Amino acid sequence: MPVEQLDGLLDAVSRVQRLVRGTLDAETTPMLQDRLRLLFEEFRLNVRGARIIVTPVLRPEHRPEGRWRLLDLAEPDAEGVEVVDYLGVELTKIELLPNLVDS
Amino acid sequence: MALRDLTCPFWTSYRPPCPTGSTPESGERRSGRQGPGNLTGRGTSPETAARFLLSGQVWCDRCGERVGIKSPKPGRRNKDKYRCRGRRMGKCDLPPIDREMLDSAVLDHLRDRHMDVVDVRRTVERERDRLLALRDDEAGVVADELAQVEADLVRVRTLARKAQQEYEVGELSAKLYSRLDAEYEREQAGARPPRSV
Repeated sequence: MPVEQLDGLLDAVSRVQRLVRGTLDAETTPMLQDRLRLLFEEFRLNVRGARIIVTPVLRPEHRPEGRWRLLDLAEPDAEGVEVVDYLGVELTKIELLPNLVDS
Repeated sequence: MALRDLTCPFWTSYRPPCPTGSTPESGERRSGRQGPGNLTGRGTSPETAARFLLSGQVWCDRCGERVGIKSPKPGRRNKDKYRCRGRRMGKCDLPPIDREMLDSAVLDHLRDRHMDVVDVRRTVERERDRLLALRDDEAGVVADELAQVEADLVRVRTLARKAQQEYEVGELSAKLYSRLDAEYEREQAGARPPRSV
């Protein structure tokens, strides 16, 4: 295997590892930004008590049928950041490294 | 916290389809935003925007304004923040939110609930397939080289045997046989697979 291919493979593995571990850096953040833009139209921010509520708004093609409302089951004194989840949504799979084959 | 599908007859009240009561288009109308938005964040350097996971995608649910990104000025000890633009106009009380805290929460959520977003399985499988294909190619080359080496080995052994027979029946002098034998030994020693698979 040529050294260039080995290097590329190791770079790709490293990127995957960092993403899986949740490490955001100058390389992985833009990559994830792109993925998120494919899935979410926007993220809405609000504050409720000591909590920060993030509501990801799915793009229409990923948005499930039906009418939606927020179910807030948190304790009144809950704090921190909470990300709203959609029940029963299966998001379209998006490849992590779409350009790897071409590189 | 979850968004519940209200088509179930158990639920008698509902909000509009968009989770927080706004339509997908409302954000664009409010601020004149076109298309998917400014990917680097308005008035922000690409380097700064690249640090914020949700750069250009966050809107305030309290006042409807865009939530911008703000990095500390050089020399300051502040941290990167998401900051609602409505605060500047005095119409919003959404506090500035630490970038690392918000980005980590969103990333953790996606990883825990929707790992498909970063489709690791498919990515790893594709890498594995690519690696296997490369290995097959490599194995093909090695197999060809091995076949050549084995053919060379058979040829040298045949020659060595023939030289020994001729020496034994007196057709070869001891000096010549000795020289040929040494040469065939060298060739046999060299006729080994050039590398391991």
